[in-house]
Amino acid sequence: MTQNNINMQFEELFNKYSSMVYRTAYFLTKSKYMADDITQETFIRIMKKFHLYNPEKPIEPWIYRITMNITRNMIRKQKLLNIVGVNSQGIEEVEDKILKSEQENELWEEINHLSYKSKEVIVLHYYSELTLEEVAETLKIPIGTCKSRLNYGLEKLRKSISKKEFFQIEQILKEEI
Amino acid sequence: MRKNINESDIKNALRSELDDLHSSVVFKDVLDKQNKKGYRKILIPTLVALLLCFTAFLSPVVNARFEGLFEYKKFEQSDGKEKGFGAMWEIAGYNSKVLGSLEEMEKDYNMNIPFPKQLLSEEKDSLFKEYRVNTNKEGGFYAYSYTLRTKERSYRIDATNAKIGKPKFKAETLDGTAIDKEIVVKGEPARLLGVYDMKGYYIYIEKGEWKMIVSDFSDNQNISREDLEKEVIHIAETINW
Repeated sequence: MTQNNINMQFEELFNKYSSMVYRTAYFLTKSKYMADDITQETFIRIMKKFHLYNPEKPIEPWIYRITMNITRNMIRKQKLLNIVGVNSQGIEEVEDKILKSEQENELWEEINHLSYKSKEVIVLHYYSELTLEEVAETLKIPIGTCKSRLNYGLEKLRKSISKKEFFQIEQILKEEI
Repeated sequence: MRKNINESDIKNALRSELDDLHSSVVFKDVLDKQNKKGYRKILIPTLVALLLCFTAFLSPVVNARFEGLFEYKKFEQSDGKEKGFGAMWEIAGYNSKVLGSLEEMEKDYNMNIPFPKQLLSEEKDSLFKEYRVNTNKEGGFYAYSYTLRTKERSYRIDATNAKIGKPKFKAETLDGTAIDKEIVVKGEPARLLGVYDMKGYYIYIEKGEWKMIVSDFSDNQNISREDLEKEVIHIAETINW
C-alpha cells in the first residue's frame, strides 16, 4: 500500500471521528484551544500506533482511549505550564457559552460540576454512546468501577437538581409571604 | 425530594451544547505536525548536545532576591507523565474578566499598567489574543494575564501589584539541567529561565510594587536559542514601568 493510500485511509478516519474527539475533549477541558490540540495529538498518535490496534475489536473505544489519555496529560501539563488558577487560551467564548448554558440548561451546568472521573464516564456513555463495557475498556478500569462512577455522578446530579428546585420553591414561597 | 433524571435528559443536555462545535484542525494540520515531530526528534538530541557546552557559561549567580525561584530536576519517565516547564503563582484572584486592550484595562481600573509595548506590535499577526484581568473580592484590580499567539510564537505576560509572594518555576527536564541566569533589564535585576527541551524562556522581574512574568515560546525550531533569548530580553526591555 502506498503512503498516499495510507494517508487517505487516515483522512477518512479523521473525517469520521475528529468531531467526536474534539467535542469530548472540549467537554472535559472547556477550552477550544486545548480541544483542538487534543484532536490533533490524538490523530497523530492514531497514525503512529495504528499497528497496535486490533481490527477484530470496534475502533471507537481505542480512539477514545487515546483521546482520554492525551486529554489527561494535557490537563496535567497545562496546570504546570499555566499559572495556577488562571486558564488562558480562548476561554472568553467558552465562558460566554457556559453563562448562556447556565440560564438555558440547568442540567448541563450541573454535569459540568461533576468530578472529572464521573464526567469521563458520562461523556463516553451518553454522548459518544459507548456501552459501559466499552467505557470501562476505554478508561482501563473494571466494569464495577465504571458503573459506580456513573452512579455516583447520576446521584450527584439528582441531588443537586433537587436541591436547586427546593431553594427555588423556598424563594417563591418567601416572596409570596 | 429527588428529581428523576433519565438518560435522554443527559443526552439532550450534552447534545445541545456540543453538537454544534467543530474543531478548526484539518487533516493536513495533523500530517504537517506529524512530519514536524519527526524532524524534532532528530533535532532535540543534537540541540541538547550542542547546548551542553553552552551551559558551562550559565552557572547561576546566587542572589537572595530571587532565591528559591526555580526548581528543576531530571524527568523520570513513568506512565502518563510528561516533561514540564512552568510557573505557579496564585494570581487568580476572586474573579476575572476579559477586556479588549491594554487601554481598556487601564481605563477600567484607572491606573497605569506596566506592559511590554513590543507585544502590541506583534498583535498584528495574532491568531489569538486575550487581556484578562483578575479581580479581588471587591472587584478591584488584582492581576492581569495577557496571552498572544502568533504563527510562530506563544507570548504570555502575568503581572500583579498585589502583596503576594513570588511565583515558583518548576521544570522536569531530560538531562536534569536548566538555564537560570541573572540578567539586568533596563537597570532592574531580573531572572531568565529556560530548559533545553523547549524553545522558550521566562523572565521574572520586579519593580516597585509590581511583579511580572514575561514568557516567550517558539514553535519555530529554526530559531537559535541565543536569538530567542535576545528576543525575550528585548520584550522585557519595552515594559513601560
